[in-house]
Amino acid sequence: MEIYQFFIDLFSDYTTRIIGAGTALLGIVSGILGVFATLKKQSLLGDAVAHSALPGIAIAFLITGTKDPLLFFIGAALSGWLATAWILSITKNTRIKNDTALGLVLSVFFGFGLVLLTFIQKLPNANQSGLETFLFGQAATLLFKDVVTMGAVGLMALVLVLIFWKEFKLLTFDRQFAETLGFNTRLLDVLLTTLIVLAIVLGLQTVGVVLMSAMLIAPAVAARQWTDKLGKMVLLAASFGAFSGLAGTAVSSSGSNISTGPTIILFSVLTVAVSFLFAPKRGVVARYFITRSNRRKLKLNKALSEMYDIYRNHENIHHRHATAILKALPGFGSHTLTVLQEKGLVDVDDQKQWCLTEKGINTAKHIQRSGGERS
Amino acid sequence: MSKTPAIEINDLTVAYQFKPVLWDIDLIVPEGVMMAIVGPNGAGKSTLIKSILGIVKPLAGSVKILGKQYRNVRLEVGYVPQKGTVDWDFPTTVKDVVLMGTYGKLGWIKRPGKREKALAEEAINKVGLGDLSHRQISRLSGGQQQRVFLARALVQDAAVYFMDEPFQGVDATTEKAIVNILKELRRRNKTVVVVHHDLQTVTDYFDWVTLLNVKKIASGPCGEVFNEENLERTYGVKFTLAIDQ
Repeated sequence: MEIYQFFIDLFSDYTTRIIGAGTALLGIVSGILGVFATLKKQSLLGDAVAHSALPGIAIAFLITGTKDPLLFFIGAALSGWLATAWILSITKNTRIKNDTALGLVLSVFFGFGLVLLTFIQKLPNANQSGLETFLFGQAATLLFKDVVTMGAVGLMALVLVLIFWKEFKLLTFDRQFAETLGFNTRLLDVLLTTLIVLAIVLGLQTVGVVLMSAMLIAPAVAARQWTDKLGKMVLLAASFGAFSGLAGTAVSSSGSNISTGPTIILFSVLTVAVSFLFAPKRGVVARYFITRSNRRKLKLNKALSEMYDIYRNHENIHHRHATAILKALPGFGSHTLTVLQEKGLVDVDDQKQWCLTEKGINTAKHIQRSGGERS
Repeated sequence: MSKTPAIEINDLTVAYQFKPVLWDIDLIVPEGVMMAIVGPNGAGKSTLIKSILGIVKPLAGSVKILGKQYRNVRLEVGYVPQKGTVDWDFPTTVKDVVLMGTYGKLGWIKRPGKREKALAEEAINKVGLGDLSHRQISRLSGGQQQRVFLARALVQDAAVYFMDEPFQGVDATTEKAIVNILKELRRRNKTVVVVHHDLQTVTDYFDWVTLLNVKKIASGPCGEVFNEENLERTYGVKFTLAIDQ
């Protein structure tokens, strides 16, 4: 309850509420689109787009001389989109591989952006300070109207993903097949990439160009660990994104002046770590236990089968053997006989002589038939 | 049988960068035949299929399917791509992938409904994956994955099928499943074009064959063109194949 009260108190503050709403929205939008970006093997494209947005922001300021977030948004989107188009066309039309093209374009745009930024800082204009916050983001500058913009863009992205769900799924899974079915894959590509660019640009003010791509990738990677279905993956990624946004805002607002953007990123990386470790089936811990239990089962099956082989050589299959003899068999550890006894597969008499039970014999026969797969 | 051939290709030339991959191909495939495309690696077999389907843009030449431009007969064409062209770790199930075969007839935005799901279920059963329809596709063997693609093509319910190396690296069970599907398609008078590697089975599975090595070497009924002379011209080495005539 104390944590609950903590959140109530925290978000009763107007500014914190605005920031919380903004970062949560951002988490949802980038979570949803991040799923498609990672599945299309374009996770790093997000990084390139984010870095490439910087000159767009600087040029928007140089042209208008004002610091209107909406203008920044448009400038960033245009320059991010231009970089994306350039990368994709290099990959398609030359022998340069995608990762190299990404590196090239990213550095050209980011370098140009930094040059413009330093140029702007030397201008005799009182208005110029504050642009550098785009490097690492500054959530505290979020205003109500920014949150409204985020909400509008987010809603549009969500609606488009829902409308073109089937087409986006097909495009990400099997592009060529989509093409043979008559879907305009180029149009779908442009649409999906534009949405991804928008999601990234949306977060620049809050998280900054350097870290934004993590907002795109981390929730998707975390979500993939928990499910094998695209729909669930998208829902989970959106939830993880929202959680990271809210948790990051909460921690950074609870005093101590920690900046919000990096804290959000730390939380989304935390969701990845937790998912990698504890997700059922795919998680490291789950896989360890599954492997261990399988190995134990196989070992036990092997032991039972060995035992059955010896007993079969006697005329009476219920013939008894001493502990020492059985323990010399391959695969028998100190607990093997006890475990087999617990499972009712073997029986022991007062003289510590062991025999197979009926159940043990049947199980052993089954194991030998099926090659030890089941017990 | 109608006089319009299932596939008619004229002067088709395709090049990647500067190197021609297909050179001046003329090809006529009559309706209802099972045709194998054979040839060495890099002979342009997959490219031929891809340029018929419009995935690869040709430098020159024309392709007609059932007498029409491909874009006007898309719904009559089914495609089984090579297994390696997609990421099998994609978060989706067998049934979901097979349902994608219905997307063409559904068109934009419309979602698959009961009818489509029933079709998918039927195709999954036909390729022998009935028990696995809700399984994630990475937890399938290579042969099972190939059969998923085959089922997806079946629900397309096309008149002309193109299959890119469906027999590549599959086990005996899958090979048999594919052959059964081919036989069924033949019974239903479908035209099937298959990129094939195993020369020994060409005459067992197919009645028509095209030998290809950048240029078309020969094309026709197996009995007429599938002989040692043509194989030598295609592969550039001597063949001592036992061909049943």
